Amino acid sequence: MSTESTLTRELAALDDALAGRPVEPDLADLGELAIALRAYRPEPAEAFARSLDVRVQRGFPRAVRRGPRRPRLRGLALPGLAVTALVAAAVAVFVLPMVRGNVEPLSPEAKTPIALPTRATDGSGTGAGTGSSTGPRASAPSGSASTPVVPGPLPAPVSRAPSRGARRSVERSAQLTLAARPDAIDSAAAAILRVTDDVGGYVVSSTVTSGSGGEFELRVPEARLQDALSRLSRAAKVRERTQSSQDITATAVSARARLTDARTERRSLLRQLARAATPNATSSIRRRLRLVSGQIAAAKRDLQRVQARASTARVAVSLVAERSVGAGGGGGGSWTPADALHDAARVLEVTAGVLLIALSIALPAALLALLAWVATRRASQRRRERALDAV
Amino acid sequence: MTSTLTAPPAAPATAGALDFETLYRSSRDDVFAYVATMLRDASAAEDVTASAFERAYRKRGGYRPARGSQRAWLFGIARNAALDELRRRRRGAALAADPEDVHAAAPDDEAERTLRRAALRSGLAALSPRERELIALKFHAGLDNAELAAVLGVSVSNAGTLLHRAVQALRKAIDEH
Repeated sequence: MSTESTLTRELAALDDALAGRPVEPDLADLGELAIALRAYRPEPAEAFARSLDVRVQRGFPRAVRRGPRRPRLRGLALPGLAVTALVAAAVAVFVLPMVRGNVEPLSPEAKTPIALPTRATDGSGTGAGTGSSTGPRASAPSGSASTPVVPGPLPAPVSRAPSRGARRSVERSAQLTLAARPDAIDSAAAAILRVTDDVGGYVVSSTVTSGSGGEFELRVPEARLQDALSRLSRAAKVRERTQSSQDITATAVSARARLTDARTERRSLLRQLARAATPNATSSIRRRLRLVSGQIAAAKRDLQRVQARASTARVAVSLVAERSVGAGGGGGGSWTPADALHDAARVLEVTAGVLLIALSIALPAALLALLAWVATRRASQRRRERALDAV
Repeated sequence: MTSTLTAPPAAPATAGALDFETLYRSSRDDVFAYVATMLRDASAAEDVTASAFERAYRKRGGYRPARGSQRAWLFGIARNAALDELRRRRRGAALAADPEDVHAAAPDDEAERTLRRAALRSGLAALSPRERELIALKFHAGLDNAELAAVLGVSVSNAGTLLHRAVQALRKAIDEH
């Protein structure tokens, strides 16, 4: 077994012999072996060497390919591309909505989700304009319907089609977010109250802070809802507008049926009372009459409440102060350098967001492609090395 | 064997780029010697040598000096081409007959040299393919230990150890001849 120093000496002797330097006497045979091995090396044939020289001179011209060119995707390239596409699709489907985070929950009254009401931001002024709307949607039999929010006049949400011979009771509501400059908050609040009064409605509650904003809970006649919304939208810049409707026919029918039943029972009791012969029977019938009268009163109240819900629409208005109103805004403000700075920052913000999303898709894809490439290279080299062991 | 070449039309002209013509001139016979020893088939060695130089020519833009010398890079390509050929044929060194010794002289002319060549031939034939590859890279292709390590993907000290073992195995095989 050679020691480390022996190994080093012998390797040095080999190099010395190959370089033509003298070799130590005790390693002379090793030097001779090195020289003999070099002298023994195979040499290329003249004809081959000449032909290779010519090919090199010509820059290894490619042979003309006949037929369609075969795609160069081989090995793991296709599976890698497929995995990359899947990852990109998964990111697009699951991550992007979370990033945007603009899915609005259903309104509390909407027991049956039919369609998610979408929020729309109006940056084009008072909102009394040209927004388009989706068509009417059919609602669930006992549920509610929501209309996507767009600025401008909207068609009333369409509830379930009334069944034959029955009038449907529908409760309608709307939410409106208006934006005005801080110095225009008070005038916008006054306009909201004026519109409510003009359409025959009333204010359930209101809170207004000068220069900051306010909240209004309004009731307007159902028949004037669209008119009211249209006029309210002109009071300030519309930021968001949502309308929804809920079918309360079942509740109304139930209250009406209970009232009818109670009245029928009262008439029956009155007839029994007229025929009563004993004091005990009379007393018993009167007790039952008092109970039925209470039931009639409760049913009447329920029915009136339901009818009120159907005949008036609830409108919730949020009035917010706007730091700056764009050039096209309905607030009437001019476009200042500060606005430009704000807009530029916003553009940069959005651009950065888009780049981030693109990066979140591209990075995993690139990583997968890199891993596939490395794995392919290693597998290929292992297969080559096995060729040495197989011979 | 030497020849005069003009630069290929598409040869890279940028500073620091691989000078393919110079590399070809200095390495053609070395690559052939290495591949022929690996394959032990002169005809196949010609094909593989040509293929290796063509691959190197096509990939010359991918050469990175930081990853080794030009010769080490070229012999890496030649090695892959030779291994591909071995895989394809699944015979390599297991030829039915050794290639003819083109250097063989007349017996009555240089008997001693002829005997020595015969001993080398049989000694090389007795080596494992990996040992024979080390001998070919070192003595036939003329690579130094650092280049040899780069081609095989091992450290320089490990390459020295492997080479020493191969030489010892060859000496033993020659002694037993």
